[in-house]
Amino acid sequence: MNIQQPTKRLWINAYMLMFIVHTAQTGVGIVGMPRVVFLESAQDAWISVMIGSLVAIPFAYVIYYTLKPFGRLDLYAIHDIIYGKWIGKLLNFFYAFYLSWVFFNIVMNYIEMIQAWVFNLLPTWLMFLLLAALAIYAVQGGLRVVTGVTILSFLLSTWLVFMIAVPIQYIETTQYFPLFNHSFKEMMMATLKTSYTILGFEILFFVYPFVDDQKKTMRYVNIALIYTTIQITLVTIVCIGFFSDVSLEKTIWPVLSMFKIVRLPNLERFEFIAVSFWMLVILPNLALYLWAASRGVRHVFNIPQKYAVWIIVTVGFVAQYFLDSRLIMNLITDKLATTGMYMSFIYPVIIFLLVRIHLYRKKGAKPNEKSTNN
Amino acid sequence: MRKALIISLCCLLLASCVEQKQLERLGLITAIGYDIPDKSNPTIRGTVVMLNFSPELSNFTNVITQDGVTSKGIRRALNQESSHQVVSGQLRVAVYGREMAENGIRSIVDSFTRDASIGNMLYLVIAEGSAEELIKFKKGTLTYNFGTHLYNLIQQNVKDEQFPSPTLQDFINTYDNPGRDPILPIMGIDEDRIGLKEIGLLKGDRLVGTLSNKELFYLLIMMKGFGSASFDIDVPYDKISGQLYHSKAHKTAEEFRQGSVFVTVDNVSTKQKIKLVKKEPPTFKIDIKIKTRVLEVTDNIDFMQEKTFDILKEISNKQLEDGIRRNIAYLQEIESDPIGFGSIYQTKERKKELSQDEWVSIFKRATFDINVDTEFVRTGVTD
Repeated sequence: MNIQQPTKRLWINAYMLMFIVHTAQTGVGIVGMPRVVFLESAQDAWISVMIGSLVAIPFAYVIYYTLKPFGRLDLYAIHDIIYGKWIGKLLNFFYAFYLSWVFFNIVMNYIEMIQAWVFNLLPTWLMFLLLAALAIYAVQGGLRVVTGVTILSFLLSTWLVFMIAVPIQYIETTQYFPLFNHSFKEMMMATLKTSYTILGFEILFFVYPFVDDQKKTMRYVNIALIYTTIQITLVTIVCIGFFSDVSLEKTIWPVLSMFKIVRLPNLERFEFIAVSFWMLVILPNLALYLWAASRGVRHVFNIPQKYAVWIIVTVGFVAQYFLDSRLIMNLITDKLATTGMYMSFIYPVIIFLLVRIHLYRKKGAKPNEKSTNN
Repeated sequence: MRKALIISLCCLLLASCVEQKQLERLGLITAIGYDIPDKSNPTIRGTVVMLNFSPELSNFTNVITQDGVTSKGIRRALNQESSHQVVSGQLRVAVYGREMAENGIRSIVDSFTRDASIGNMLYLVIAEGSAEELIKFKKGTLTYNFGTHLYNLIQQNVKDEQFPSPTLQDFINTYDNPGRDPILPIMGIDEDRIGLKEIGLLKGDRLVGTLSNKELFYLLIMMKGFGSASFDIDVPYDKISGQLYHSKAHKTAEEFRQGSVFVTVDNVSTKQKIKLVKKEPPTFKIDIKIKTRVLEVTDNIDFMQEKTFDILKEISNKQLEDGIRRNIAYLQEIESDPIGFGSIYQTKERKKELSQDEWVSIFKRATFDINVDTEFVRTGVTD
């Protein structure tokens, strides 16, 4: 088994995980999330969102403790160790496929957003190529460049959060009451619907081996998760107060529709700026997922990562021709949300248990001793 | 390096693949009006004000009328007879003819919300007669941009808190909320100018009643977010006679008994509190605290005495309470709920969804306990 470990030259500082995890979570999901959750638990949606996003924290710990004993090995390498060569390959292939799917889905959702809001006639393939080119460019530079993209995007786009101050003035407080009048089941369904938005912390599976001071990992991951929680809960709260029931249920991108009322001097239609700026928000998602997916393809097929990137993008490019209606996109996004939930909430627990069993059997010969030496 | 150059060149060249919009070739719709020309068929008549930019001439506007079954159909028809491409990104005001408003305007509002090119801060107004008449109105021979004019007129009044903001955003939000109904201003022509006539009260998307500007005041003080407006207190002479400077002896005793002193006050701030105190029968408690200052008095009232204020306060409270009571009774009669008693009711109601019809029946048998507390904080710079 050839398992490569990242050399020190490629490591990143632990604090950068703040940006990586947060930006991996924030993407196209947040724009439509309030509505999706609202459909399940109406005015209590914000509670579900808060619970849903806080749930990520224990699961991030599960991921952390799965990876910790292996030091500088990522999930793909751990799969090989736990399951053996063939089953490991199969699982790795599936995981790489899932990550590519996420990449593809983000690109397609964003293109749909552009087409609905700004350029109706913009051909999908063109936008796909432009976005993919940016992502490929970042990934070819390796994780350090990808991290650079995440930090840059965070710094340049985080001001968008403050624009929410305008819709806050239009909030109708009666719309939050009565509190807690939904059944436990409805609340749980709503919490599940939040999962698509908070997905992204599982990127830790692949980034962790590159972290310089690994002991500090969870400190920064927690900061990122809490920041995401505050952000999406706030957005949901404002959306509930801003839209009346029926109009929130009908609005596909409530966050963008909310920006429709922002009016700056000399700039009448702020939402156009928001849609364009959203590219900065999704760029780190694209780069991170493409990077992680291409590492998987590299691992499974034993080819250099730069070719793996091209394979994924080419397949995606062909696929976009077949998936271009709102209905199919909805279906794919829904399926992805479900798969993503298994991949980041259930699978980590399984692999965690398997790793524990594996380590228990091999008492004495701890694999991390080997890896910390280099 | 060369590769990068080629790629960036390609991107530059590809940039023109997107539809172009040159300002000189566009007709920007700034206002649109809708009417029902004939009740027996479903066509609607659209009248638009189109602004054109031209490099040689100064900007000019066109007014065109077309019939169609949908608002987008009207736009298509307009496009066919215009030398400029008709776009609605600058739409500022939508005017509905009175007859149309009485029949419901939802379908056309839907067309606005579905279209991302239309901003949500567009104003919706109702024309006193037909929308076409209002839009085609020209002041003398001067051609001016009617859309912008109407927009500024409304905006100015909204800022001055003369009436609640009638934006598309406000309309959709209140329309979609079963416990609240929208209010839209009614504009009309007054000899040579356009102005606000009354306020239209809607039930859902249909115009069901109107309020005069004076009656609107009572509605506004119940609505959240309204701070200032001025009103007159009608004080009978026999109540206030002890508080007058009698130095001005030009009034006879007879005049004293009959007339009234009018005190115009300006409310500095209003605090509204509406609470549901009992669910069956639904009883709302409305507490309103108004802080006012005296603007004008039609006779010499002695403001140095404390008793003056007690008298004024009592009369003003009573007058406001009566006004509010009258107002609510009217709202109950026409089944329109612009204040949002329904949403207040819903905050206590655990049943999942309250439909419009259910709310109307609850609203009709609701009772109201109204308390107004007026406080005089200033009397101006003179006593």
